[in-house]
Amino acid sequence: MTSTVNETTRHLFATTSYDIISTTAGLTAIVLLVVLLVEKEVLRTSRRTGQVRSLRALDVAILPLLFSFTFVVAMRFAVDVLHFR
Amino acid sequence: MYDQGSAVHSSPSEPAPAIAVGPSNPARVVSIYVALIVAVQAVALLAGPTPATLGDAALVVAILTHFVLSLPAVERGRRQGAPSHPAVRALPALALLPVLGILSVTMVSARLPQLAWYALVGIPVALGVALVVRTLELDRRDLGLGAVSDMRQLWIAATGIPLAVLGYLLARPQPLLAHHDWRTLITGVLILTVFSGFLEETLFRGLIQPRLVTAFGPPGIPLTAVLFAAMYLGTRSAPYVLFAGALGLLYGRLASRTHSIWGVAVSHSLLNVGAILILPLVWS
Repeated sequence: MTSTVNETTRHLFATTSYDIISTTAGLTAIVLLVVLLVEKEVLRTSRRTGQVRSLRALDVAILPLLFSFTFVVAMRFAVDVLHFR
Repeated sequence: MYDQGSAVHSSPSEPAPAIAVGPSNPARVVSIYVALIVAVQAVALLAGPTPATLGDAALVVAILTHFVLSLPAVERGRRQGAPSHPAVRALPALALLPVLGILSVTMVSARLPQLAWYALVGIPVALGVALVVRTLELDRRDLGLGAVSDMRQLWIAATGIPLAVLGYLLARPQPLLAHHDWRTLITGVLILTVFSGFLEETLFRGLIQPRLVTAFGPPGIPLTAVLFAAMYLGTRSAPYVLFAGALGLLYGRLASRTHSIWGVAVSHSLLNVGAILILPLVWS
């Protein structure tokens, strides 16, 4: 009903276990985070970009994905170690 | 114009010039990204969220890399008196949409109440909005969040009430709250107001629409409405997607005419609180 939490999300969680979701979507988010971090470092050392300031644009995705990474890890810890149901 | 990779002689102390990325028409490139964002939402509807998440991830890398590599050439051209490329400045704002798509799947858990999902997704999205504002060096007035001196904003805000009734009748959502106590209700109102209404309007009408209007002119408003409606494809309801598109057009026109998003943000908040929280409780 909103663009932030939509019916796709609801349908997903109604039909799929969290284990599968955190494995696929969570893994994608984590891999994307690593790719962006590596890219930032590669571009920083590259002489082609010219301005390091423009690299801060990558933070637009890096910092939100860091939140996502923290949440995914915390939920996996809660479910697998603390047996949170 | 873009530096098309022609030799720019620089002194040994200066870094090598940035490469020119893409064709000499950045507006066309931005329109391709807009089409791809809509396409990924359609993939989520047809093939499920996993391929869509992969598509979102690819888009994030493509859009932000494009912006990072384009910016130095654009700024150098501007210093040399060449026309600026406002379309390029739309890229960081557009990148937030596939980020939102990824967060809406990874930041939620069936073990947490659905009301909490809005805050869990909304917080990192709000962080992303703040970072785009910093990257593009925008201020509150650029976002349409300047001081309100116009009574029209009150009338615009009031449209949220009839829109809430219409939205509920179209979507008929299940009640979001299991408990009807006042504390839970007030918490729900606050969460939906901040992380749904205000955040969505700041993102679409405050951040994306002005950049697309600067890049494309008046067609930037319906283009933003198309992006907004695409985010609702997951409702699997054609009437609701059309409603979202019409809403995007209405809010876009109102925000553009009044140079403020306060009214549409309050209206959107009232719509969401009414259609998602209050009316399902009253009419269930």
